[in-house]
Amino acid sequence: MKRILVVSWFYPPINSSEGLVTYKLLKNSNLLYDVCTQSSVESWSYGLDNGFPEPDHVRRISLSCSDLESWKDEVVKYFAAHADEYDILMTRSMPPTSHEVGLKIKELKPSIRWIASFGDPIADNPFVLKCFTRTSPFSLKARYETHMSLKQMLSPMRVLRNLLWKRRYAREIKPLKRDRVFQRKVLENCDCVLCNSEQQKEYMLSAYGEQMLQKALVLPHSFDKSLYPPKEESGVSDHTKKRVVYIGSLDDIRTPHSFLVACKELKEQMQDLPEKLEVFFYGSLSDQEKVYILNEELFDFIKIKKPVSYRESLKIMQDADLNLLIDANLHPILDHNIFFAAKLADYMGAGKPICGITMGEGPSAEILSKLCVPALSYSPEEIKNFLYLFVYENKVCSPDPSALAEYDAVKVAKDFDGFVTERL
Amino acid sequence: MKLLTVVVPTYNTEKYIRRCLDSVALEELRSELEVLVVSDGSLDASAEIADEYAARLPDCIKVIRKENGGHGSTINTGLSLATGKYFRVLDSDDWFDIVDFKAYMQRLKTEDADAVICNYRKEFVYESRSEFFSYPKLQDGKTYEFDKFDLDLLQGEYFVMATTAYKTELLKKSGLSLLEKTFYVDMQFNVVPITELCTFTYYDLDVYRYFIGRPDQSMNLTNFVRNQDHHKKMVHWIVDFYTKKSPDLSGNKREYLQAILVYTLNTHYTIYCEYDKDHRRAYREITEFDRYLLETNPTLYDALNTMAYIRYNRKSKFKGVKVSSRLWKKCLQLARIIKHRGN
Repeated sequence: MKRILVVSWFYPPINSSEGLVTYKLLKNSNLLYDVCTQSSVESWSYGLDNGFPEPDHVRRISLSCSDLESWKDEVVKYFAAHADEYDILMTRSMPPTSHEVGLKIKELKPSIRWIASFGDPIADNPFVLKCFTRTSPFSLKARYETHMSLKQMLSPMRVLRNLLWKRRYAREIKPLKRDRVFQRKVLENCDCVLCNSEQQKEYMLSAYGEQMLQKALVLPHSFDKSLYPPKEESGVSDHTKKRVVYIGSLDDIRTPHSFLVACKELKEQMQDLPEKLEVFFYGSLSDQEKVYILNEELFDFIKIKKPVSYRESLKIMQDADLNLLIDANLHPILDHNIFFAAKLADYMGAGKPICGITMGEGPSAEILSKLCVPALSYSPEEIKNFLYLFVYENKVCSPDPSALAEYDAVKVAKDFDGFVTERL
Repeated sequence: MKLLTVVVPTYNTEKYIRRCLDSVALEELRSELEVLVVSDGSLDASAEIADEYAARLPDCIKVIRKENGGHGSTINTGLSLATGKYFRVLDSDDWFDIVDFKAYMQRLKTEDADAVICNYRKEFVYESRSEFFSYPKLQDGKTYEFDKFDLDLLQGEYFVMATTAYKTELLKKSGLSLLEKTFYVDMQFNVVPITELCTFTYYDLDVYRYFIGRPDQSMNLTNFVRNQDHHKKMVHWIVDFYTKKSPDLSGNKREYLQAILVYTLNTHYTIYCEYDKDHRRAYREITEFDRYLLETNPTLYDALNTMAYIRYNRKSKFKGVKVSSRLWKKCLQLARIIKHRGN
């Protein structure tokens, strides 16, 4: 079999979730790969980790470039020179530029079998949609939400402002339309769509009909046991307090606010909480939440730490008493979640207790239920109850070992190999 | 004798029941608490999950499996088996606040009032917000005689399933038997025991968490319209019950129950006058119901005239109900805005 060309801007040593997902899949696969990535990461803040084992069957092709656009051209140029060497192409969606490369390559060699991998949907991404304000603050509808005097209602200034708002809004949503067209073009031209959950597959493809759904392969995120430090290196937990850990970046949409409110309320009821619990957030946190931690004086047991490298994060997960997952609340855009956070798979590999704050339905809720660990809602009251049980009643929430096998990178890669060999 | 029986009606709530049972299955309360999980013919794993908890605390948690008969039937079953001094209901998608529940159990040890009232919260889980319900004018820990206390202290609120624990003996004596295969049976639970109630104590504790977030919840407004037959059946039952009982009730009880009924009837009229989009059906139903109410209980009928929309609809013989509700809704919204400004 010929080698598979993988187009991925992110790939280790860069510390990026997308690159690491690709790496785990390729490392455990039995097929041969060439990964077109980039050699300069100066403009990116992800950091480097040079300690990843380099498997023999994966060859890295680092193309020097100044930005994404020039990288795109370099990859196409590279392919044009080596077109005969590849029958299968895989492009990774973060950033979507990889798929632009895919379209160009498919034009150059229509017979190539193209696997387009989507970490998240590019078009109508609910996470992005949630950022948009839908109702103009100057529209007449706004009077149901905020006070609007009769004078304001009749004011021509309000009408003018409303028109200007709409113009600006239209400019903002233009890229969304462009993304929709682009994603459709990719989906129509590729031979296989790689998704990480059934929910993502449904969300992205169901509108295009059965034929498109047939193209999809659902490959869940996975953990690679060999990447975790040996137990003696990670050390036995010597902390006296229960340690809750969240690893990854948080923002205004994927927010720990409910969790922080729960901590605050439990602390009010149980004054000894800081002596029994410590919470670590590794990664970025919105300023609003940092201020909340300060204002509510939660800093005695909630700590914010700098982002850590992937392998360091695995060690931290192994040392934690509870690994916390926080998903974005997509309501009111969607009533269910469609995202499967890669960190959940890594939490599973760490073998330590897990708890998730997520929507009632979606990949995370499904997986957490399979693992028999708590999937909490965004209600601070529910989270508070859980924390009480965890801290004071020693509630056990270790994942069911029998449910972990499905997310082992070796098994996932085997499924992928089987699909490629039989279907492409 | 156990101190408290908590009945957990369960129907296909495997996603939520752990959260519910975790909040009551507490080691230190096992000797005082009886939890009866009544599976109403659940088709999912909820009963099996409850079995896990029962195996862990066999002297505290019991799982009862029965054929499907609706929410009311599970409470009837629970009540018939209850051995605790007090009785309360915890739906399997709701939960108790552990800290306050422990305090509640502690205080219950020395309690002897017929009913114990506390606060509760509605948890809108997707919006990450709570709505807190309390009785701020009632005094924490004070026992009131129902026939003598000042009803204004309730500030228009009344005792609901989520806030109230009754003595099991009182519930049995009141003849409480909830309708089977019918939604909104909590109305019966809010009304029937009051006829036997002599004393109640208020605890300023925030125990019950009422989960709002499932699309199929009967309290959902669109489901009110879909389940209007259930609502109608329940309202008829309550009106008949009240009409039959009211001559023997004390003034306070009569006034209290009438307030609940006016509130419930308002919801019933709203379903037809505002929410039901099948205007012909709504017109037929509401005219028929209005006639029934006038014939059955003229006092209640008159009490509803305090609501402007009912008064105007009656004057126009509900002809407005036949008209598209869009226009009517706009008028109502405008009326609300004007009223709000006035305040």
